[in-house]
Amino acid sequence: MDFLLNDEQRKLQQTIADFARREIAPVAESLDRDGTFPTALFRRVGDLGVMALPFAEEWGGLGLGTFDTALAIEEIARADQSLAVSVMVSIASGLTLQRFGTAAQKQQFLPDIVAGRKICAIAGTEPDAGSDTAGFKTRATRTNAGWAINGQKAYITNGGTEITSFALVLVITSDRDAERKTFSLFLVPAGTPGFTPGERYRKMGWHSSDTRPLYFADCRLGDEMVVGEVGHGRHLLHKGYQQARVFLAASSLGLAQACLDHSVAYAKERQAFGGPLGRLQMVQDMVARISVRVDAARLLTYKAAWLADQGRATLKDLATAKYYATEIGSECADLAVQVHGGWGFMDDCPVSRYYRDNRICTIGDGSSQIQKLIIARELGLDVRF
Amino acid sequence: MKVLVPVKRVVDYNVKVRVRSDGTGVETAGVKMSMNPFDEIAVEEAIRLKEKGVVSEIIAVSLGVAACAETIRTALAMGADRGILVETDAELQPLAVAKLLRALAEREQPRLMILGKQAIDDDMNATGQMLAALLGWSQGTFASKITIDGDTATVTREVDGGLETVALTMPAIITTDLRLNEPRYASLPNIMKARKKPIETVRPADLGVDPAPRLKTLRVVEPPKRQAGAKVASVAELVAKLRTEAKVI
Ligand SMILES: Cc1cc2nc3c(=O)[nH]c(=O)nc-3n(C[C@H](O)[C@H](O)[C@H](O)COP(=O)(O)OP(=O)(O)OC[C@H]3O[C@@H](n4cnc5c(N)ncnc54)[C@H](O)[C@@H]3O)c2cc1C
Repeated sequence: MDFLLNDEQRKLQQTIADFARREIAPVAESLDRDGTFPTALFRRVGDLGVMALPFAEEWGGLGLGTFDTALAIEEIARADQSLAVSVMVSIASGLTLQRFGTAAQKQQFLPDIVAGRKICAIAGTEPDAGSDTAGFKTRATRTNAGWAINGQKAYITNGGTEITSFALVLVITSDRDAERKTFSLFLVPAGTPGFTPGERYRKMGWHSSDTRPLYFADCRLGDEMVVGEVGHGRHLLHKGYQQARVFLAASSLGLAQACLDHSVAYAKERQAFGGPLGRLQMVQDMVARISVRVDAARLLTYKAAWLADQGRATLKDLATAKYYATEIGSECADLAVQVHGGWGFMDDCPVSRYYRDNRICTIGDGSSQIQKLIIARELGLDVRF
Repeated sequence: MKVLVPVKRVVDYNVKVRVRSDGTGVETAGVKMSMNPFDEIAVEEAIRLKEKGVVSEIIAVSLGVAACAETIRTALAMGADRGILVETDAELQPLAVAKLLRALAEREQPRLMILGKQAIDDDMNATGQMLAALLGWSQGTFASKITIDGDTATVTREVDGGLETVALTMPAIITTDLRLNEPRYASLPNIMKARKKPIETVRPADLGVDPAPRLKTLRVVEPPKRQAGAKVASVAELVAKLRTEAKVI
């Protein structure tokens, strides 16, 4: 067993960490305040090569794995989880297209995503159904020339930035009176008539990540915009999301590490009762608890990512990493706010942002409840959703 | 035109250095090491000259322990073409480095060598000047702008009184100041490509140089801790204290 990164991985990690520390961390607070998607900064992340990491060389990618990508996402999240999430959603959606899309779809859409010139989204959730994917209502019906989509998606990351290229949208394609609802995944290019991103939501966190409802009103698409086979959409979406679970775990891990970085620094610097805060045992206790959680989350996340690259990650491995890392992200942020006292409650204190940002991580991409159900089911219990 | 750029492995500028308990130097074990920032500027400048078509090949050289190869890799990832590692575990001082670089210059015959004006670890600010003297080449130190035209390098130097512009006949030694450029990040694809670029390893003896230190460090100590400030009640008291205690006016 080898717990050390190889030379190339260390170099990759260090390069992204340097970039994140110098270019992202200093603007993270103002991005949180302004709440607009940082197109120029995102493109610089693309120039660095981050978006290219896990994609095939054919599309301009570097042909690396889930593990290397998770390392990169962790370092970006350590500076700004909101940006890390925009990055990871575009990577995960792009990978779904790489895996299941047609050659023509890939040729047209992947190179811009891989280079970080454009960004993409994946849309499952609807106003009336999220975890319960069978409850989705958006529907594509047959027309003479292809399909017409009607309905609405909710809370979609990267849905309407100025560089959004497309969204992969899950819709019902079975007949209304069919016995079983079946779904298909459509590639909907930005600007398609009948496809309108709504206003940005006001959110608790992830302020500079672009989250919108997507509206479909007689949105016409040809057969060539179906990703994978008609009727297999839910399966594709689940497969696509599985890898995203490791990436979201890495996003929370980076944030938890940042909670530790800030708490240690603050405990050394802030003076109270005649010495640094860090001399007080109850503060030491909080810092140690953050540290243990960060280490444990890192082991689970790296293991899941590594297993995924070996083709050996089970649903339980992925669920365990996603569940644990996102939960401790919130615990660490809570502890870090406590270490920072009143300053930690201020919006412009980094740990206050972490506290708000991480809150969605235990909800999105399969909530903690759903992850635990998966774990219990994989352990052989009789689980019903 | 061939350019040789020496790159030094130093304690990262973000690290708060600690003096070793025996007072022989600063602690480097387990500390993050990076390329000397002034050398990054030198590499960047060489790459920009190459992009302008003035330079045809960039050779990055590092001198010291085997791990210096990593610093060379960083230069290769930024855009240098090949590397030379002069490997030794011995302590290297500016004179020894200058002699080793002279030997390499004689072997490689570059028209230009761009060095950092100093390394952020020992702040010697000596290697470039010594090297120019040993080689008998022209030198332009503390460069904030470089233009090359034929056999002349025009260097704007940051001196105390302002900017001084000198014309150097090549071959020449140039040392970089902070404002010369802003070094690029090595992109991830270039980091991967850099793995395939060659790094040659030589030893000081191969170059016929005895790198033994000529200077002896007696003691390294922490700078004195900052004294706590004091509050003054009025401007008059401040002026009085500046005059009598601080003796600055
Ligand atoms: C900022 C943000 C970005 C997002 N980005 C995207 C995106 O890019 N694409 C996308 O498709 N979606 C996105 N989402 C949506 C997100 O994935 C959903 O909110 C999430 O899946 C939960 O679905 P829901 O909101 O409908 O909650 P519900 O499914 O209604 O769940 C409500 C609560 O009930 C619990 N619950 C539900 N079912 C069960 C069960 N069987 N057993 C036990 N407990 C259960 C849940 O855990 C939760 O606590 C985003 C959401 C946010 C807030």
